[in-house]
Amino acid sequence: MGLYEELKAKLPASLMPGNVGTVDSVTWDYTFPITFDLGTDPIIGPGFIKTAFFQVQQEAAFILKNVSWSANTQDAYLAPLTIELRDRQSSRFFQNTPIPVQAYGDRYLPTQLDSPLYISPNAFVDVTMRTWIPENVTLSGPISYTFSFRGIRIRVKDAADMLGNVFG
Amino acid sequence: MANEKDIARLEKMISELNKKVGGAPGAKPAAPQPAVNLKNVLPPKLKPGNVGFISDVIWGYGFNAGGVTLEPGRAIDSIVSVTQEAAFILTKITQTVYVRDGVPGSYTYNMIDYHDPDYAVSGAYGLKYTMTDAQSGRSFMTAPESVDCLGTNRYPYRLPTPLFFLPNSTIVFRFQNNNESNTYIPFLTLWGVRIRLDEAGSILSTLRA
Repeated sequence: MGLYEELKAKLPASLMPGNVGTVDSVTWDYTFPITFDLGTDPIIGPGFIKTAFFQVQQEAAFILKNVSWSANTQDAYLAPLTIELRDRQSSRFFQNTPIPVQAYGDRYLPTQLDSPLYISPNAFVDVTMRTWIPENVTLSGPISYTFSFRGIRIRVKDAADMLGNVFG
Repeated sequence: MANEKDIARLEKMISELNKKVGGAPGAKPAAPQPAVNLKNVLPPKLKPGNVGFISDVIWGYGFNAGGVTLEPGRAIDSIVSVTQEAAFILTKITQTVYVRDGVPGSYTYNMIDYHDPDYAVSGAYGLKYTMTDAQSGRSFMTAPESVDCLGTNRYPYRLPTPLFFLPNSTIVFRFQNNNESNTYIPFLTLWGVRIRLDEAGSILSTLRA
């Protein structure tokens, strides 16, 4: 009896590890963190924009399950900023207008996606930070944010056939 | 009007195409290979919704309402339109409210932090909203509800049952600031999934049998 069969026989389904099995069937936990460093005493207002992205490496696809963020100071935590997620391959946005940073679950209580999102190997996800305020405002101190995109990695067959994150 | 020969020719073409993609006449072609692979490997809670036929896929989406400056005593409508490509199934709502302080030229904007003891009790006091389905005129409440009663980013308000909205439908949020001194900028984020419909045209109302 191989390790996979032995564990499957002994463990309840909820405890069956994803990283045991054949090379095409294993899954493993993975996080893509991205950082927005706005510098010290940054001025935000109309025209303010910061961009970042993550790219899924070629080895395996990524299934995005949840998103969370953290800020380095109280000023950063409360600042009137928004973020916007976009699938670069299809140019598809995942919101109608930029969503306030604080609408996403922070730190240890992330926003759980209702439906896990499949992201192909080599695909890019763009994240854009903006503000909605109509005039310039100075934030005090060093301001930076880290966003964590968490999920699992899985190898897929025929990955090259996929052209976008939402596809038929 | 197509004649019988044309119809027979088209049916033959469809049959040949179905044979090429491995499906029976009238059946959908075989699912893309990666979908089969993922289906076999992943537990149900991790199966991605955005893999499959174009009419079957679902994907996470957020609609924003609000983002309007509400000075004391003001009321403003904010409209959310579900874009034509796909319907929307609303599962949870989060509120993010900012307070504008200071005087013109030196305003500051800060989110109301419900975890801060200073705001834990007061919240966005006086800020209320109503939600109405514009197609049917149906309101989802008898009177304006406090925005504080909606969930925050950490603990979103999860609807008892998901709420379905057709493509091109409109949801109207009316925000009302009854506070005597605070200027609020509220955002409501509607979280859910998008899904394309085969027979969208036959559905006439948001609430249907």
